[in-house]
Amino acid sequence: MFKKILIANRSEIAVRIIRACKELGIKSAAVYSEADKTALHPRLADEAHLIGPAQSSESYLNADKIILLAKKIKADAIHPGYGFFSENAAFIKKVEDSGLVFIGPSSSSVKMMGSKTAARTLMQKNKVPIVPGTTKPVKNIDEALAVAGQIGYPVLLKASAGGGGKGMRKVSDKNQFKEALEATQREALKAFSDEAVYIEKYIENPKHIEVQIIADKHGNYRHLFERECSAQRRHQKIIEEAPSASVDETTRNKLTGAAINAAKACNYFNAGTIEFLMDKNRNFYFLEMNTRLQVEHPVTELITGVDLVKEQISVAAGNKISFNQEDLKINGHAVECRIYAEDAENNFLPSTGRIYEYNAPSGPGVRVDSGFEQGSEISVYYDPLIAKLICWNNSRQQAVKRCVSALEEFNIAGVTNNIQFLKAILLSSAFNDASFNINFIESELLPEYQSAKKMTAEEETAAAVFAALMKEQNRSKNLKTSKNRFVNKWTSQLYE
Amino acid sequence: MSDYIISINGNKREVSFSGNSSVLFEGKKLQYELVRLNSHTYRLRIENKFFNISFDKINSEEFALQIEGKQVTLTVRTALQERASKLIASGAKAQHKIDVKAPMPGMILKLRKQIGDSVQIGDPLVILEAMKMENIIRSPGSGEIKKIFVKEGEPVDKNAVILIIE
Repeated sequence: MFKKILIANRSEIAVRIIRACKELGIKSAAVYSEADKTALHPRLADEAHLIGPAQSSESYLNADKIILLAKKIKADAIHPGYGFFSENAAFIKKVEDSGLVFIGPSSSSVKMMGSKTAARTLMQKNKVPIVPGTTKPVKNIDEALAVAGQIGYPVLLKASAGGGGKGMRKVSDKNQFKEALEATQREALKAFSDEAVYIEKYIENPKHIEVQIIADKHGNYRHLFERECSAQRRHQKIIEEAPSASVDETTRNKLTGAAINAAKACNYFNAGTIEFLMDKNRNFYFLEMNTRLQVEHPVTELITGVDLVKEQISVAAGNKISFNQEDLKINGHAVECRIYAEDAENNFLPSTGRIYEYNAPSGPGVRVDSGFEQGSEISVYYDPLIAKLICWNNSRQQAVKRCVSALEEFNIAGVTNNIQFLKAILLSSAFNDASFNINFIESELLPEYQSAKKMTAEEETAAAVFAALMKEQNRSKNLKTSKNRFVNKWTSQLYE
Repeated sequence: MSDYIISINGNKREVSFSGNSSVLFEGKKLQYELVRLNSHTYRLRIENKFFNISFDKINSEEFALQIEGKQVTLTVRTALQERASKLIASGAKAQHKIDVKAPMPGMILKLRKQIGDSVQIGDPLVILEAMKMENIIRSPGSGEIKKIFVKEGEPVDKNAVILIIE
């Protein structure tokens, strides 16, 4: 096993990895930027190293500095967390060449899954269903029009090198096609320095279903069932759960089988996730593979009892996976809410500042993975995730209730956050009857939420009484201080 | 006791204090208790319900509150300030000239403002010493101080004009 791991990440995921290291008896070394001196991860790690100024490019994304530091402090492995370097094949190659271990897949696996069109070709060859469309970038407008006509409108134009919902455009009929294709190519070139675009059939109101897998360096593959992450806004997940309420046993077998095939196709080792879109007839299609630990991994941990981070580290150290497929079963239900520093009332503008009040919920089945504490500063430089609330219970309905009540307990002041918005999603009927799809937040929930009354009459009364009390206190305080001032002046005048 | 008008979520609510632990909210008597948890956060009990409230003062009338995680900005005014703000709102841009007069004979101990200072209703203007007691003369309106007729240390008669606010 490793002796020391350098964690090339920040905030809640760095904290999560530090905790796993402590349980494994491995020393943890955190890196932090100038902007993260008040974050939790530098304090919890066994050692913390300043890596540079606030800008990621100079700190958390400074590859040479991080590898050099790992060598200097005699770490034997680097954990990338998610984001930053986690899916950067060039960085992984550098780590491999430096003699350190990258806690993740090989650079070649990452490369194979990095291009969307190459991944689609690979999946098709390995019996993983893909969305109908091209597996190569379109060459010219005539070819593209022919393909679109064949698969039928609406179609989706997607950047080959894309991801995270960028470089995507829906086309409803052939009259819009030429213009849309050119626009997508321009966007792709700008965002990913690659103008290659391919065509997919547009799936109407799908669900986002993904399968967690893990594989070791000895050719063992396991799946840890599915998660549903259909509660999204602008293709960003907000609430995730495991298992999916819309996946039956037959579909689950097909999904997990396809996911294992996908992992095998790229000679994968490490924890990984295969994402699918599922239509209302439970047909599912490969979307992409995330070759890293996911933000939403805790829901899987809570229903399987597997510690994915510890397992991931163990596998990277060359050990075999510690469990057999038949050891696993789905136990209960887990829901995760992402608590973001953003203003749901104000077009989701990011919010920054110091957290002057931080009270996390607790109780049975309540887990909070947080990157901050009271007094921590949320800066403009990084993503706005403050914490993740994950609740487990025997059934989905009970897990959702537990999550609602935990959100009510959660109190973060000083930085505007989306706790009230998360609660509104959990209480919506589409979420409760599990009929929701990836478009429901933007098309149904948001308009309703924005016009809804947020405060109860009791809270309004309390707020009004409180304000009057503050004003009253303030008034008597003013009088008192001016009297004191006067007395002092008076005394000095006497002696003058 | 004091009456306050609170504007919250588009409604006006009246709060007045009738004792140490009770308040009249819209004429209804409610028991309350306030405990300070830390520099920004209080716990308020209204009857049998507790609330955690964090707050930031925006100015002397406006507060930004977070009550049980819900954010709200509200305005709190004394009954007098409320009347004044209504007057200001209705009189819109009409120019008002206010003479501030000495309510009793005494000595000007301290001038709190200078010519050109803008003042809000209720701001302390002058400290008048009379009968070995200090009296704060507060601004009866909002505006800019145009003229001051006195100096510190000078005696004034009752009803003498001390300064003019416009």
